[in-house]
Amino acid sequence: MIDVLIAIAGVLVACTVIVKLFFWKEGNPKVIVCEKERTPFKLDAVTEKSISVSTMVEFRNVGTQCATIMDCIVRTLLPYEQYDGVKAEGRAEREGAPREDDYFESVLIQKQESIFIHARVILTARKGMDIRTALTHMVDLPMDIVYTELGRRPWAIHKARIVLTADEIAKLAGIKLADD
Amino acid sequence: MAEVKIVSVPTRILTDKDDILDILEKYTKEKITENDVVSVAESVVAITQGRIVRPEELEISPLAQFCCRFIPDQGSLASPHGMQSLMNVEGQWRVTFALFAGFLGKIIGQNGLFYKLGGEQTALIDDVTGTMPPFDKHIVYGPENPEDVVKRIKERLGCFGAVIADVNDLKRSRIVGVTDGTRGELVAKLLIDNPFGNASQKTPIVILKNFRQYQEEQK
Repeated sequence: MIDVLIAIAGVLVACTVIVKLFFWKEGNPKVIVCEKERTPFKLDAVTEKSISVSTMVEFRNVGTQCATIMDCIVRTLLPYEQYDGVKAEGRAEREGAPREDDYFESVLIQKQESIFIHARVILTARKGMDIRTALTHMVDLPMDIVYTELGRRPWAIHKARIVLTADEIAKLAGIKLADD
Repeated sequence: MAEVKIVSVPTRILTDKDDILDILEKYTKEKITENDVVSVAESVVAITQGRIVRPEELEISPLAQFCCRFIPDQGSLASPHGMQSLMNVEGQWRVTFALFAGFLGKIIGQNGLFYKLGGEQTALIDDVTGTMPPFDKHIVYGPENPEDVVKRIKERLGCFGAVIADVNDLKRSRIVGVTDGTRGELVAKLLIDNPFGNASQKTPIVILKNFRQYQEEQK
């Protein structure tokens, strides 16, 4: 009887080891956002009241399985307590798949491949100012790229942060920052 | 020899608020004769039946997380969400058994056992990204009672036949439901180049003009 139990336990252990080895060999998807290697912000459009600038960020799947990015948004963080001269809005747009509706179509990233996301920010002047005047008092603008990822594990929300500095936006707008 | 003309019919994006019979009547009534076969995309029929679920709505079991690992990563059941949605409709133990049987079958050279034993939804579920927006963030099941749906389509439109088809750009063409008297394999062959279009297009209906004569000549 003991021999039978030992044999059963041995088979179970062997099966567990084989399955674990199989999972280890197969691996997982792993998406990293290369926010530090983002391109410099570039000017997309400027009017009297607003300015639109964007940067391109790589989403790289360094894993060994296919990953899915189900949704992606750019969340700007400019509280009016800090500066209320402009309203900031962010957008995420996939390189090669431009959309005008601010809808992010879910996308696969094959193993060891990348997609590129345009993180766009639109700054609109407030309080009756034109955008150039409003930007003279601009502060650094942090932005979270928030994305939903799924693959071999249940869906999860991740964030990566980039910052549009006041110096960068001033340079793009062709203005000089005020010495506040 | 009768020539089959393939006519793709554009529609607006259909949702679970739509009735597929009303939609077909609205978009095809003037274009259909008693010689034609109407084919409808499988995922669109399912969407109009409300057979969709968001990954966020699913409670993922450890068993689903475990089982999905044995599906190649391109498959719709390769994610825990796809697997869980299958388990929710076909039963978790049935799916697990089918997966195990499929594994054993592969060892002895018999492929496809998982899809045979796991229930009809095994081959029909589309995971996230598998359907056009706004359903790209949903898991879309296969349609319910496809044979009944095609029967009612034929009755309503007075056409020669109706099919529900699962077709993609990778030369997969499969008939999910077909009316009596219509040879599904002939329809599948005609749809092989995916006249429904890719995910961005809104042509979920395809009319096969003069299919009756074409089928008669094939006998």
